[in-house]
Amino acid sequence: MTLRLVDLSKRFGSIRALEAVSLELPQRQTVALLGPSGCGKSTLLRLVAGLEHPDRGRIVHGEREITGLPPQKRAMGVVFQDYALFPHLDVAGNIGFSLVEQRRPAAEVRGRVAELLEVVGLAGYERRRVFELSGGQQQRVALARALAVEPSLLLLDEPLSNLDAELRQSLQLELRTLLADLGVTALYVTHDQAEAFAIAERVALMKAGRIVQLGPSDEVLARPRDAWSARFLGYRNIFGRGEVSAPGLGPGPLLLRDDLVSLTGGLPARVEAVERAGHRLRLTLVVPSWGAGLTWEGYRRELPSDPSAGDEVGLDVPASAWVELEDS
Amino acid sequence: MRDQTLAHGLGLLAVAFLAVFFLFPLAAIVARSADVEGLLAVLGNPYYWGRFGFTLAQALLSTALTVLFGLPGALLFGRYDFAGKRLLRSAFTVPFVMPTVVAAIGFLALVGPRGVLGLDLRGTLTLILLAHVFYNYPVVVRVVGSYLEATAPRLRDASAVLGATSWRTIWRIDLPLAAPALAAAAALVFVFTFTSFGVILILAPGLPTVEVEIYRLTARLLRLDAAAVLVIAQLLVVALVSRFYVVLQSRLAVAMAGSGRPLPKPRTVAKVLLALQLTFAAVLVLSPLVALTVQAFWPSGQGEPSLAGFRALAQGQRTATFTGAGAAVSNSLLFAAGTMVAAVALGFAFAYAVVRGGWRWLDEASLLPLAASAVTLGLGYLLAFPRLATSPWGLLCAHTLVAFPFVARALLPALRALPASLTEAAATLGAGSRSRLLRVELPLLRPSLTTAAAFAFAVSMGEFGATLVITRPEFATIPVAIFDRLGRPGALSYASALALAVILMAVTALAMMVLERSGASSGEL
Repeated sequence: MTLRLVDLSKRFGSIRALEAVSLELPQRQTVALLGPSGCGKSTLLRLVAGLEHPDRGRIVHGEREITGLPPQKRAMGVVFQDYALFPHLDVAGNIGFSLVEQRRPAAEVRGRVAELLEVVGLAGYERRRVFELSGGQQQRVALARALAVEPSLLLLDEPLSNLDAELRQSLQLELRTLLADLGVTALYVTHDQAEAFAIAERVALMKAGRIVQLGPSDEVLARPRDAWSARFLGYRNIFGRGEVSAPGLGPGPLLLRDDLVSLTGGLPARVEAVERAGHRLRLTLVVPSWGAGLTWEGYRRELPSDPSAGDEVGLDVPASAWVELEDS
Repeated sequence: MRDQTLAHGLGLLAVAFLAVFFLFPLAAIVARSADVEGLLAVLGNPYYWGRFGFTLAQALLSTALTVLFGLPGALLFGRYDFAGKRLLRSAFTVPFVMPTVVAAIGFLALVGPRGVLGLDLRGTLTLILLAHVFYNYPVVVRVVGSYLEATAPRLRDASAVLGATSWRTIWRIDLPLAAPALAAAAALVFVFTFTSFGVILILAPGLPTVEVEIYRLTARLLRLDAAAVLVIAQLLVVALVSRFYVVLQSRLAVAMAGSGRPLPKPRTVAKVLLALQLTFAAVLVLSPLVALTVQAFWPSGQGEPSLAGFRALAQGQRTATFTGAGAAVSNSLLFAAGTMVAAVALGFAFAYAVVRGGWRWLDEASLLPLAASAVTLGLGYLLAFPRLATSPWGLLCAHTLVAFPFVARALLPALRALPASLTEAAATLGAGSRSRLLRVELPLLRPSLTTAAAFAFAVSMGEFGATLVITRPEFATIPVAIFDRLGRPGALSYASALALAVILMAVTALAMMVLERSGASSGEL
């Protein structure tokens, strides 16, 4: 069953959290809602979960409209940002919560809890108190709890944001594999673009209550729609209309993907400044024939010699490095 | 989440109870006060004007003294962490929970006609003030101290870094910060002392406050119309000051956010001050209770221990108007148990509607029964439900209302502090509103519910004003039985009153231990 969001709008007082957002979640795929804080992505997730109700618009699950349904009737799994584990219950009590709600027999609940703990790699943790667990373990319990009743849709609200960087990366990989293996449909809210692309097959980029770009992850990453999207995705070399002139380029705004530019070509450029960012180097370059400059980031080994300000270098800029943007 | 039907249902029940058993009796008093004869009897009588002036003066004086004595303690409390702080904090709940009658007898045992100190202060303003400072000193230290504890540490560091000495920091940071909390505490102390009843009736019956006059007009002179006029006058003053308190409270709640850094240990000068302060607090809080215990077992003038008072109690019922000790104890326990259940149910329904049902406008209503005094409530019951008032059920309702503010104020912050995401998580896991209440919210609130129950129990055990107005001898509780014995001549009556007070103190102390062990904060009061 696919989930369709049709023209959803939501205001909180004078703040427009969502404006006519439409989105379709294909089955067995993970869609990431990616955007800066305050863009409405969490509100959208809460609307889908039934924790908020839209001012306008409809939510359709398969053939059934669920717009007015309370959360407890939606059978969706939600992983909260703070995990929201029940402190008065142990791990098994948390994971089995929804099964008890469905009046399943105790033996079945026990079996299912054990099975889920196996899935998230915490076999044998049934009797632990939740506050004895590490952040990563709590996160797994929260995931297992959300999966307990085999939800038709899994909603994850910044599930990794409370963990440290290293753990976050290993869990990203694990989560992606797990979601794919289980074949669940998932909506994943995050403000971290690296995380969105690591986990989701499709990405919806959100800004100020609207979805500004939607598509397969690779495509969104490779071809941001406008200057704002490009900047949000971490690109640095963005040129407004007419700011750069080079053969074969259109007149509109442009993005130059410096990740596709190498410093071993024949286009003359001059090094303006050199910065070190950890192991990487960041060069500010000026290309006289464009009447513009660019920032390039890479490792020392990609350069013919140790760079310093004032050096002349030769660039190789393939046509694919230029992305035409829409006016925003 | 929009699903608030359950919360609103509970809220309606709570509001209905308050309307019938609180607002209606008040309305009955208002209706009764609009009586020309009653108005004339009070307004045309300079005596009552005098009593009103005296009540106001002793309340202001008590408040000023309490603030004067309490402020240094509050500053030290909010500034330092020291050995025994937890213990002291518990000791400060003593006057809060200890029944008025027990504390008042304690003062009699200390400085009464038969007192251990051999100094008779009975019937003097000094004794009234002493007892009021005893009751309210902890209010100031707790309200102001915990406010400073929560807000000031980081600011104090900043002030030190910016070059201010400790004394300058107290002057420029602590005092200005504490000002609103201090004003709130003072307002609370004023309300408590303005409506003072048990303390006056027992320690200085010759210096009656308005509250005592209301009682006399109601219970002795049967001039309910005149009593109603006095109630309205008292209520106007109290309502004004309570309103001030509520406004300050809401401001404090905003400023309370943040912090959590551990406090430093005191150094030399502070240590000395702290030691002095602790001694003062200990003497103030403990001496009447110690004197009571000592006199109950070693009656003055006798060199050796005697259990005459307890023996007199054990001899049981003698006459129809004199409640036996056994009956008083079992009455008290029954009423307290009933009050515990009823007040916690009422308080929870109320708090649930305020927090989960979004009925914020209702919040302040939980303070109303506190502002209307206990004697007022008793009079209201007599006027509104003449039959019910003198039945055990009337008494139970009155006790429930007196306990209700304490219960609601303990549960409100606890319920507010429950993370919204927990109930949301329960909902997404298939739990409907009833299930969320039973499986998530109530279990999480258990410590606070225990606190609230212990409070309700202690309040009911100690309730004096309302009970004295509406009770009949066969339903007399321990405080009433004590008062009864105090009013009779003879050393044996006095001894048995002391013995009964010791029993009441012990039962209340037990409730307090439950309070302490439950570990939850005692809330917003």
